[in-house]
Amino acid sequence: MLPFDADALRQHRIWVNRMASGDAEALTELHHAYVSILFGIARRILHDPEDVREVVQDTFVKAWNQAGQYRPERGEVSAWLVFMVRNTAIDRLRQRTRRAHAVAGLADDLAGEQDLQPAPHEDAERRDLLAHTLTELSTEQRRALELAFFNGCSQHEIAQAMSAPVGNVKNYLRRGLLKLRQLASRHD
Amino acid sequence: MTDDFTSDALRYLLGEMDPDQHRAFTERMARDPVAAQAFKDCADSLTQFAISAAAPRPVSEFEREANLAAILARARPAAVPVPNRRRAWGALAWPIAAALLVALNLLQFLAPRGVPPAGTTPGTSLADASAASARTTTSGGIPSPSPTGLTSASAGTSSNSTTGTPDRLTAEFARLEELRRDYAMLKQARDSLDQQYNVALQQLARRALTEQGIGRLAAMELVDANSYARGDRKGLMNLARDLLTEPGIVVVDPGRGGPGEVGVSEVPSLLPGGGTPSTSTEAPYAWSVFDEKDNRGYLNLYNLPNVAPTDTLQVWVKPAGSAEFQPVGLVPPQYYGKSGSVSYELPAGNATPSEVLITLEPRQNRPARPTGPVVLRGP
Repeated sequence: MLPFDADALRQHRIWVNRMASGDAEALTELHHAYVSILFGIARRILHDPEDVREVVQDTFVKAWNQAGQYRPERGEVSAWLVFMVRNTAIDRLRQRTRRAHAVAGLADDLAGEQDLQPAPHEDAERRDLLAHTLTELSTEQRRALELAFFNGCSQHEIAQAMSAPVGNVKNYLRRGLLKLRQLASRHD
Repeated sequence: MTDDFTSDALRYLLGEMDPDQHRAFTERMARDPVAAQAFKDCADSLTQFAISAAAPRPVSEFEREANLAAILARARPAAVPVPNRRRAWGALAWPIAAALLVALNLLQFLAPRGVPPAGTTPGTSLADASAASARTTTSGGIPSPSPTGLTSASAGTSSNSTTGTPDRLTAEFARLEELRRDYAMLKQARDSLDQQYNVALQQLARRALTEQGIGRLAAMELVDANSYARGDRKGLMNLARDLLTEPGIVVVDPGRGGPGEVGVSEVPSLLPGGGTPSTSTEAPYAWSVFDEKDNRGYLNLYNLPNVAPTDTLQVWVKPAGSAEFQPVGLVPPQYYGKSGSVSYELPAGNATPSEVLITLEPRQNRPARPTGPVVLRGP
């Protein structure tokens, strides 16, 4: 279940389709809908405000340039943009920091729970359901997914950071994702 | 879907597959709709997780507009706002008109000059004025009118195209974003240079300590006679603070001078180079460092007075425990009236100088003890 309802997701696909035709207004609408979300994800990965700003801009420019390549059967527009900003931010992170530093500092990153804030175009019910998603995961599953997604860590690096065998890390990631899929299908 | 597929989907999404695996997985999704749907579910689920785990960051109106303006300015092919699709034909009016006016202008420019039509200024034309007007109304990151392509929305169909204020704001936002990016890049470059400088200085210091074998150093200030009498000092530590790489250690580079002269040393990053003209109103000043391991002293001299060709500046030191000054060399004439660095060597067995003195003495028949006016003295 994503922070947007079915109608909103449909509208997002229409916008991307129009962007492929060179419609800048569609880009503006998409920007308005996703800029806060992408800023949040980029900031979670990079921290430096200038890097965050540039990465978000790069993401929307890429989205504009690659709008014609978007495949709705591979994921919703939210997934397309979220993974685009994630990959752009990870590339920037790898350019700037050494992986060891990222792994060593992970304990601080994961120490506390993050307070959820409402996303744009999101009602209270969906917000609560999103928050509930995280609590359904085990601590290890959540940590492993966060390390993989937000820190770009490989399974070996996650194992090192969590002081766990690689096999366990694979299980955390796989079961975590399966649980997320089950939750999504339950609420959709 | 199997556990293996879920693992593969995750690796695919996170970019952990090698090119062959990536290609194989893509082909599998292309031929297997069940796999494709399962992959979509994985992607959407992980997206949901990411949005939940990373709190969206509220963006102010200004920041959003600036961000958008920068994106529109960078987007290629150039983003073309089409706010009102029903008036598409109206959008062609301006480019056609602009093309006609530009063509007329070119014809006038290329045709033989004759008497200009009544009502126009020689050298200009109505076409010039109109074309200029059309260009100025479409500035701000939106492409200028072209003879063939779609341009910004036609006049009257949108408030976002040919009117001045929104376009200027957009252009200013875009420019602001460019300046912020440039500033960030320059700041980053400066930080990088600062870091490289500090690293280089540290490396130089370490090399000096290990290769040059610099040991314990004694330092003192030398001031002019009046300041010496009053007990005025500038404060050596204030000068040495930026040069110290370790407590009490100063990085220097020994040099050699001509016979009878104190050696002229090249001392990196200490003085403003040898032979720097001094300010006539400033009193002479110096500070000295003595390397006990090598029995070599270094003097950084500032604002030396001009000296007549018949005279010279003699450097004297009084080793600790001795009651007499002994000569160690002459300041090179190239430093008269200027600033510079010099070094000297004491014979082995001599203790660290407890006093340093520079006096003005005759160049010929120099005395064995200081007799002339004091130029500098310390500590």
